[in-house]
Amino acid sequence: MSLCNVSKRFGDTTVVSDFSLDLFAGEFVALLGASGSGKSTTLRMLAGLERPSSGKVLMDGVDVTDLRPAARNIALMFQSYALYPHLSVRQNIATPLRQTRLSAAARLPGAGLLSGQVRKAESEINARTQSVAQMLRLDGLLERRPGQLSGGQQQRVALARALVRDPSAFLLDEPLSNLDTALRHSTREEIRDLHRRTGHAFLLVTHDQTDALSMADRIVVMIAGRVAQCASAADIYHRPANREVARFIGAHRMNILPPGVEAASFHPRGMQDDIGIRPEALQADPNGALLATLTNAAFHGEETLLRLRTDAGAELLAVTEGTASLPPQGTKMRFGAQAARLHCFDAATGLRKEIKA
Amino acid sequence: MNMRESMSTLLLTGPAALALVLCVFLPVAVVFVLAFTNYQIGAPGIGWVGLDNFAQLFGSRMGRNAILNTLTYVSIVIPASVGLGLLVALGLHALARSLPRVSEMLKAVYFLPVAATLVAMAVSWQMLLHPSLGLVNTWSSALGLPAPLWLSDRGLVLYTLSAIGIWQSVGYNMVLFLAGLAAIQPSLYDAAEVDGATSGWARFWLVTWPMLGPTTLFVMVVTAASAFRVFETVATLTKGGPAFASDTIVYALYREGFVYFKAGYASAITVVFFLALLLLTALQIWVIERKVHYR
Repeated sequence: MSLCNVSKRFGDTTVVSDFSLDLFAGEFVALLGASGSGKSTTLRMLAGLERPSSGKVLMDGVDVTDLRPAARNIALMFQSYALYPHLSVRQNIATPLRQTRLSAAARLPGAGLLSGQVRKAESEINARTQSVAQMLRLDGLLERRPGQLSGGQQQRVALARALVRDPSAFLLDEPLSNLDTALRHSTREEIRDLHRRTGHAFLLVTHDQTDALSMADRIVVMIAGRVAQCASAADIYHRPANREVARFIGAHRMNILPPGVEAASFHPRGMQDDIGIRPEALQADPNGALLATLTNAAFHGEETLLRLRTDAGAELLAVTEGTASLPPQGTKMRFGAQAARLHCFDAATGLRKEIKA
Repeated sequence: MNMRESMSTLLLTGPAALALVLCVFLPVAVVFVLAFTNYQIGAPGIGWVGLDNFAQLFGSRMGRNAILNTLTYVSIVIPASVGLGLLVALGLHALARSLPRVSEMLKAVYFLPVAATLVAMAVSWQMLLHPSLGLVNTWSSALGLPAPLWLSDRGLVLYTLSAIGIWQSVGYNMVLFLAGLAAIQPSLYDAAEVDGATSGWARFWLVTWPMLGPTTLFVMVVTAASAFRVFETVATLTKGGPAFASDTIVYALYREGFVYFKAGYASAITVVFFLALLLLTALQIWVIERKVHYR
């Protein structure tokens, strides 16, 4: 399934512009972006809840831009889960099947008593519901209402409801944002596992790069409604396509030295280009290229964050091991970085320039 | 500290509680006692009559007529007013997306009867429904339709009053339903859409109707309470007539108590009315509450 040059405008604001994305069968793609970058809108266009202002949505080469979500057979898991609070877990999971397989009259209570056909459909639905519930360890909770479940259980019900009708693609909108840290961790693995077992195409929308990096085969970084980079997790981290992606990805924001003597001390290209160094690549080194003043050191347990100021006034961040002994604040220290871990960006356009080590 | 806290609590709640006891509970208690007497306002004596007053209410043709009329009125007004209120609210809620200005204006129009004094409105209805000069009959005869005697036909008057009752309460129910509709999470509609509830009908039964459960219960209770108390339209338009065809419980109560000064009998009617309303409300809440709050 793919989006072709899709744009979406709300009034005068363009939320998504000229966006193209291909989602192949069985693939796990993450759409990563800060809030307001248009990633949720993109997801809604893919699902069919929002109509693109221009461009096309294709599935297997067929234009589905005007088809409704149910006709696209796409499953969507909502950030808020959007479970029906008046229905039991069993009924929640069965809803997509009941809505698509039974007519309005057959959905009436007691319809199964009158028609054998409805009875047969209902027992099929029941069997399918049961098996999906079993897969997600919900079999003991089927008669409860969503209000009686914990956040993690609600999330599994939402997953089950999305999976129950064997969708062609599975879209997840911030699936982990309402879970606590411990649960997030196990749910990440569970979702990966689910992807492997079902073999559906998964598209995950998230603002959390750890989610994206740890789950997806391919990551689409979205900045201000455009695709900033589309690559594997390793590539996004090690070879960011431009300055914005470089700053966005990574637990700590990448240091960017503007063109000048200090940047050039790391690499000759630094005379005319920006030089980027990840804080974890910047290490204290008596023979290092750069002299800087330690302005602040914050101990975070496994690591210590060092705030530095160079003589030219650039603010930098370095990360060292938590066990390293530190000189007092105000000390002048030398820092260096391996040439292979330097990044070079065009000062004007911000685009990546490959440099030789 | 504890002492001072309880003093200030007493100071804050005391006056209102005292007023409530003096102005509500005490009179109710008096009414309950009077219901078993033959007291007449201004009469020198008072005598204990036991259940005679109640026997008169349920046993006499007049009493039974008032009860039956009220039940008929209520059984028309509740479903129609709640149903129409919901329908109007759904329409205006949908309209607010495409034509917000028009929707706001219509909301005000529908709410107008609620804000207006019913007695004043009754005068307008009297003029509209006048058998020969009223707008309704002028138009219906112009269209070649019969021109019935809306307020003086014994078989028709109760339905006319019901229609006015519906007209008066739809706006209020609409506002309550609109508030209920606005509180429904939009993501539930998205989920319904993704789950294949593509028709508006399917979405209504899957999301709107169940999510409006608490609102609907409240609207039903409020509508029932006001419908049972129907009085203004009866007093101003028909005085219970013609030939008691539109006599209702509260109007009978008013007539017995304030026209014939039969305080004892009027009190008995009040007691029955009070208990009936209490029972209805309790029933609605106990039976339906369990089904509308999804905890």
